[in-house]
Amino acid sequence: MEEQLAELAAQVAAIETKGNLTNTMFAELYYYLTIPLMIIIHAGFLAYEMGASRAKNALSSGVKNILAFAFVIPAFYFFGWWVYWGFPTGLTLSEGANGISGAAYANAIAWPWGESAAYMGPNTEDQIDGVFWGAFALFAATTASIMSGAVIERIQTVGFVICAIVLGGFSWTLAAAWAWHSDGWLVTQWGVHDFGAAGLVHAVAAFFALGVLINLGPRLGKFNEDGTANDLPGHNMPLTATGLMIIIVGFWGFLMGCVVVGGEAWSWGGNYATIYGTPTNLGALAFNVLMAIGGGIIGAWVFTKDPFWMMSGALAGIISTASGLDFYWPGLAFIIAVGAGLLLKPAATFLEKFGIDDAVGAVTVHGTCGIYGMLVLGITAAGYPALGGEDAPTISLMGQLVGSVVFIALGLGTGYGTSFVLKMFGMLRVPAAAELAGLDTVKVPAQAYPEGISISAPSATKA
Amino acid sequence: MGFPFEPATWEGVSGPIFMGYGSALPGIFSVISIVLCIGALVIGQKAEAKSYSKYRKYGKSK
Repeated sequence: MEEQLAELAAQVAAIETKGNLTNTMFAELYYYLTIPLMIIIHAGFLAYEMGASRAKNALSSGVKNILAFAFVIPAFYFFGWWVYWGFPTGLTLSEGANGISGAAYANAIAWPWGESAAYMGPNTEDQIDGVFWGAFALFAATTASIMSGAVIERIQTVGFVICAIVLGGFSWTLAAAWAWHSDGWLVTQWGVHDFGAAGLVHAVAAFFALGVLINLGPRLGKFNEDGTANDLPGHNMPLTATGLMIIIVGFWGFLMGCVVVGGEAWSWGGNYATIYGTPTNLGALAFNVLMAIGGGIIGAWVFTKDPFWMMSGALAGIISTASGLDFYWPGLAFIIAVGAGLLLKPAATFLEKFGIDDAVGAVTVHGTCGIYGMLVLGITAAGYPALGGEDAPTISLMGQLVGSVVFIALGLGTGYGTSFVLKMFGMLRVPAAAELAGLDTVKVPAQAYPEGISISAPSATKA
Repeated sequence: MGFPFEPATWEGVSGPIFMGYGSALPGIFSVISIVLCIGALVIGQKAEAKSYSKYRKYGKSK
């Protein structure tokens, strides 16, 4: 009998070991898959921006977008990851209640040298840091792509890349440390809840872009002397609309990366949770994201009938509901998204009245709708716990308002400051004659359409 | 760089397995990578300024 019990115990232990290993491998695979899915966002932004550019600037816009990705990734490796773990409690770099923040902790896990290098490279005993870093690096690259579209057709390439490094390596990362990390002061003191990063990614990136746009100025020919705006349509609307749809595909990976897998030492218990340790699952995303896409498109269609704004409406629908995708009722998500779709065109027109030339409506789609989503959650989810565990701070309109103001100030301040310095050094805007000639002619050793944009060749004659 | 474990077999090896682990090399490679990024930006800026130079002659830069 005792032998049988011992054998049974050994079998149970073996099954448990296998189960744990399977869960660990699933968790690693889960975040690993978010990475290629988020790269799809960049494929979308690439198509979208090139299509939204006039033909004379199509490749130049593409070069800019590709370089943003290339430089933001190493920037996030070299210092962005450290910023996320170092700054949650504020600018003091002190340790928070959970013991996973502050300068000492960041020094121990997030520098690519010294002892912490063990967590920043291949390590068979660490099956989370690499893929988790990868997902965050793609969040960082996404912020740069959001800014990228707004400034097309007149920004210098290296000046733009420097802006992208500051945004992707520092600005949004600081916002994430403050409002996403469980020790983040906006979370613990104000109950800020921004599950899908409507504020800390989208709004920060959009207001960073606004700060750059103020110093950059509008494209030549955008505004008349009386202040009225001209439309400067891109050369390929089908490419732009398709690019937007591709971005939306990629955002499933982005939002998937906002969910914490259960059952691991670093998890919030045995099941899926938000980054705040509050309950959610992938079903919540399926319900709410799909309803938000539909709502956003319908809202935008009502005012515009324009495929560009309709697809932007889909994105606006996701962004406006992102803060509460973890627990919105799908019908409510739909209503909020319709509101975002309705808001789009009037908000973009309003921005133009101030002489701001946002070439793709990024400030409106990501900024206005991001802040709208943050505030709507403050109203609809007031009183809900913002964090897991006992005595958690609760969500409130005031908390969401404070979070929004911080995101706007952080994005606008760092974007304006960085671009102001670049402008002082003559590294922000291209010369007027180069802008008129077209940036592809000026600096790209390739042609977007060497055979022109022509009708297709005649079909073969039927016998 | 040399295999950092004795003997030269992967059997029983776990933990950090990247080249240079336990030495100053990861830090040195990281610093070189940072220098490469900065160098690429400097070279890129020079090339960009050169490509704009002829356009500055007949156009006013903002």
